[in-house]
Amino acid sequence: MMNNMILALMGTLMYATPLLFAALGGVVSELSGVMNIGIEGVMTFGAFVAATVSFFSGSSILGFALAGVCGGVLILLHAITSISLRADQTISGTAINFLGPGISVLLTKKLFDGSAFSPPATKLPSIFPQALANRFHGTVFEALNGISSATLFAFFCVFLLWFVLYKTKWGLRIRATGEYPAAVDTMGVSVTTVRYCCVLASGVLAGFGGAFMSLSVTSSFSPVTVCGHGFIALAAMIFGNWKPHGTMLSCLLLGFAMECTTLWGGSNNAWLPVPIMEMFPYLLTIVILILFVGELATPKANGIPYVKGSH
Amino acid sequence: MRRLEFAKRFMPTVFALFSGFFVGALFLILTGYDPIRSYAAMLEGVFSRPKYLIQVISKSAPLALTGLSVAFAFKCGLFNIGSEGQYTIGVIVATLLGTKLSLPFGVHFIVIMLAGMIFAGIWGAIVGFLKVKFGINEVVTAIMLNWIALHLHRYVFSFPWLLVKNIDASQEIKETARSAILHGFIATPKGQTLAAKNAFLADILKTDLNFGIFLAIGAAFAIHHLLNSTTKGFELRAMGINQEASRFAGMNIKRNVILSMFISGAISGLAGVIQLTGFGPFRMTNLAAFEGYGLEGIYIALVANCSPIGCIASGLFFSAIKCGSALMQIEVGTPREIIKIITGLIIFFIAIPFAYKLIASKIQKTKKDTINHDE
Repeated sequence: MMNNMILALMGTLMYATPLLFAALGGVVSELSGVMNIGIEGVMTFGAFVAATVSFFSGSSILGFALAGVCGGVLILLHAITSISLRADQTISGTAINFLGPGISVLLTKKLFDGSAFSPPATKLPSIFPQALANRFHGTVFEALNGISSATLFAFFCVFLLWFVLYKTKWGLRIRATGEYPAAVDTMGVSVTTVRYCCVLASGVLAGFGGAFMSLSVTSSFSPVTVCGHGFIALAAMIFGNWKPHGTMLSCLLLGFAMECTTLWGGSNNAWLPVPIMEMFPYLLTIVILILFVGELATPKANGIPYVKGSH
Repeated sequence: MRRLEFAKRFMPTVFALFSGFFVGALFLILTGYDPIRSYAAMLEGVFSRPKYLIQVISKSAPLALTGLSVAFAFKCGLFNIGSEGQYTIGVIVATLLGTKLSLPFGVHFIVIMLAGMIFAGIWGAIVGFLKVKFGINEVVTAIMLNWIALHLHRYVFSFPWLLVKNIDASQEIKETARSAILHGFIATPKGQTLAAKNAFLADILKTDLNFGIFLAIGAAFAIHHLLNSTTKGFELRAMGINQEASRFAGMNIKRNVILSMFISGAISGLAGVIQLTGFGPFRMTNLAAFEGYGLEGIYIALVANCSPIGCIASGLFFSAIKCGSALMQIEVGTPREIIKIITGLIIFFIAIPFAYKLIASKIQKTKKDTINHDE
């Protein structure tokens, strides 16, 4: 029993981590007033970069870090079109969703002799050092070794983001930019700069999310590695009411739903067919939205390009 | 003057298409592929044989329809990213009714088509309902419903009475249910003699000839008529331009949102029905991931600038690069994914009309400056 509970907890944390990174990315971007449905594409690109870099360099941490950098570079396109060129942000985000997977699969085929799959990647290190891990060996706590250091980092990001957004001057400016950009402009703070920084941060976070998918969840990159997690993360962000701590809770809940699907699917005495169970996280998302969406605080200027001098 | 209007309307799209291919070529050079040979092979894969050209036209039908579906929703102020799921529902309905129902030729297909459209329409209407009833963003619900539809497809695929075990596909749908024309004719003695006489016909008969493209054109004109010549269409367009204003004018926004999502879903469902009934192997196959017709509908609609008739042309164009890229991958070895990149780039260039205005105003300014200077 204890063992099963720990296993379920591990699975929940594993599934929640990539969602958490990506959803936090969504939070930063949308709080500053830039809609970002390109997260899915950035995650795919991040997943590709992480798997490839860690295969060639042998270091999963380097892969993880570079995935964040490359995620930032890819989202820069979205930033330029939607902030400077005032493009429709949904369309621009859609473009990212084509570009990210396209580049990733093309380069995978180029690098690995026409195969759309990357070779197995090394997992991100566990939070416990080897010496401590050996002590757990044979006890119920053995499964705890599975907690990835990136999971810890994701939760640290939640705290960091919460602190920046709600306890610092910069956070206030970011939130104001998403609510009423003209006010921020009047204060002499550049709306454009704030939005660029936030969108870039969201790209980096989404890149981390993708990296975690390919390194620690599926342990290689393929065209279906990310399979809609970017969109699920957006749902988690909305359900989390655009707040880092709320988003954390919704990601944990969705992670738990995914873990349940895996656990039931794995057991033979399943009373429901597997495909029906696999609908569960998606159905749960819709139900959650039905129950909670009424009290949402959508950033008012979200999705609207800011033209200097307008109100 | 009219020519100028025409140019103004189409220039951004032409520019976007051209830029997409141009930047795509740069990307190919960077990754070590030959862009000229790749694009040439792509062209060859479209025009070099009548077979290829016919295939491009046949295959454009489902694309044009998902494009039409997304374009119609855009016109009503909604983003139907759920076209993929609605398409999948169309496929599921066509498989079930096509294999299990016994009806005379003609009637069978019409029944399947209507049923597929109604169920897919309902699938779309759910999104509209959740939006107006609970205020849930249609993008999120639609994406969730896409995944639910995919798993539903898998569930249906697990029915033992539908499957043929050794080929990992469903049973074939009945002859009466198909939208394919003259399929299998070439295998008959009559077809053989005809093919021996006429190489041109023999080539064409090998393709997936079907009447889907006529249905697509019909649907496009119907939507064009609905939007531009009816009161309901006026209401829907008004809602697309300014929801608050149309609410103030006494229009029933809630009902209109649900209705337009229903129509949009039904069109995507029709695409699924045509895909299954018009192309070999006429079976439901195991899906590991989305087929992508719904997502492709988004850029087809965008390139068509959301004009219903334009979706036909845009569908043809993307069907061409899709079919052409198959030959490119075989002959030159350039991965097909390059068309995804080109498409993404095209969408970017379409998304930035403001940039064109900026460039245009700069050019005009320099012109004015030079004139002033001359004086």
